[in-house]
Parts: sequence; structure tokens; C-alpha cells
Amino acid sequence: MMTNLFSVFDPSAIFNFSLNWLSTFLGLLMIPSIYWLMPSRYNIMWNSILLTLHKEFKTLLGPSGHNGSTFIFISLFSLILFNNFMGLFPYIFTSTSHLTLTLSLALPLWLCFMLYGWINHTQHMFAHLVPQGTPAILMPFMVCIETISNIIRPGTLAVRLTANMIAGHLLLTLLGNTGPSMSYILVTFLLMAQIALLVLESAVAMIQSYVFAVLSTLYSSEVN
Amino acid sequence: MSDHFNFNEAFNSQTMRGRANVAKATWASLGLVYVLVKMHRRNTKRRETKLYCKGCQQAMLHG
Repeated sequence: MMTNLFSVFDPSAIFNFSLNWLSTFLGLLMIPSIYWLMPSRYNIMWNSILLTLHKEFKTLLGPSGHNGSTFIFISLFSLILFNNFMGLFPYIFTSTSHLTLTLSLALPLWLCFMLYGWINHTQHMFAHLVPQGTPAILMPFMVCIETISNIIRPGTLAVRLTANMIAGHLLLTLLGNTGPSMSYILVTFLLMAQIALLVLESAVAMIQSYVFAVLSTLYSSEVN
Repeated sequence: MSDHFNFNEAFNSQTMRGRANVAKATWASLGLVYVLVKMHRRNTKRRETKLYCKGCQQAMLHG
């Protein structure tokens, strides 16, 4: 029985060790298959996804982006995608539904961008606080708005991912818990609804990891 | 380049220099307002404590 609506997200494990956080690294188990002599169709599909992402991130970073800087964002995308996706399976802990993990990803990344930008391209960073072509009367307000938006970036990045993951799991759990008190006919509909929701959540898992990676890329392109 | 200061050249939303100057000026103004408000509040508080302290009131009453 659920003691609390959010108890499904509790990071609890046996022997007082929070070993469930180790599920974050389960994606690493997929790596050895890359080194097999004959790549499977899954490998080829995954490679084509990564190549597409690489091209897109390269475009987003522009000509000032350093060579190979897309790898960090591709790795970020892969890590979040694996975690989001695995969290949809029963009895697997979803670490991305916790701010602890998402903020640990977003905050250092943003901090590094800010430090790099303000130290190396100070004038550029100042200029970014006023969008090109802003009417004169709005310029001071734009500076305030842009400054605040810049400061809250790691928070929004982390909360967006966490909130999306929590919302989906909560919906699935709430619907699932109504099952035992339902008639057989209604359970059929419930199952269909659950499957539809699961499909939706799979899409959300992919979209949110992509959004996180793309936004990180855009933030990085701003400081160059 | 002319010797006179041209405001529109220094502060605008088109050039990199103009945009950066606007941002710097806005930040500086906000900082100045913050410092002025802080100083004003501290002075008011100090004036109030001086006005309403026991010794000061007695001194005022007895000349």
C-alpha cells in the first residue's frame, strides 16, 4: 500500500546503503556490445542517432565551437535517456526524477559556462544581456530580465526534467492503484489507458533528454 | 573619431560595444540604488535610536 503519493520516488534500499542510485550507471552495461565484431542493428541504429545529434549540436554550436565539444552533450543525452527509459520499467529506480541528480548535472555545467564566459569573453557576456534591436526604452528592463533568466537557468533545466519524470510516474501509479477496486470490464480499459500512457511517457523520456542536451548546447554556444 | 562624447554611439542596441555599455550602466545603476537605499535605512535607524534613547530623552526634558 502507498503511504504517500510520492513514496514511489523514495530512494530506499537495504542495509542502509542507497544502492538504488547505482541504477543510474546501468546504461554502462550497454557499452561492451559496441566492441563485438559484428555490430547488431541496434548498434547501427544507435550510431545513426548519435551521428544525427552530433551534426545538430555542431550546427547549434556554430563555427566558434571547439572540435569534439558535442561529445559532452551527446553523453549527457545518452545518460539521461537511459535513466528516463529504464525508470519506466517496474522495480527500477528513476534517478532523473530527483533534483539531486538533475541539479548535479545542470549546476556544474552552467557554472563552468558562466566562469568561462565571464573570464574569457566579458564584453560578449555583457552584450548578451541586451538582445540586438531592442527599443531604447526597454533596454534596462531587458538587462534585468536577461540577468534573472541567466541566473535561474540551472534551476529551470533541472526542474523541467524532474517535473516531467515525476508527473508521468505519478499518473501511472495513481491509475494503476485504482485497478484492484475495478470490475473486469473497466480493468480492460484501464490497461489500455496504462499502455497509452506508457507510450506517452516513452516519448517524454526521449524528448526531455533531448531538450536537456539541446538547451545545454545553446547555453554553451552563448558563452563562446 | 570625434573628440566629443556621442551618447548614441556609446549606448545602443546594435553594436557589441553599445549593448555591453547599456548592460554595464544598468548593473551599475542598480548597484548604486541598492547602496543608497541601504545607507538611507541605516542612517534613519541610527537617528531613531539616538532620538528615543533614555539618556537623550532626559537630556531633552531637563534642558
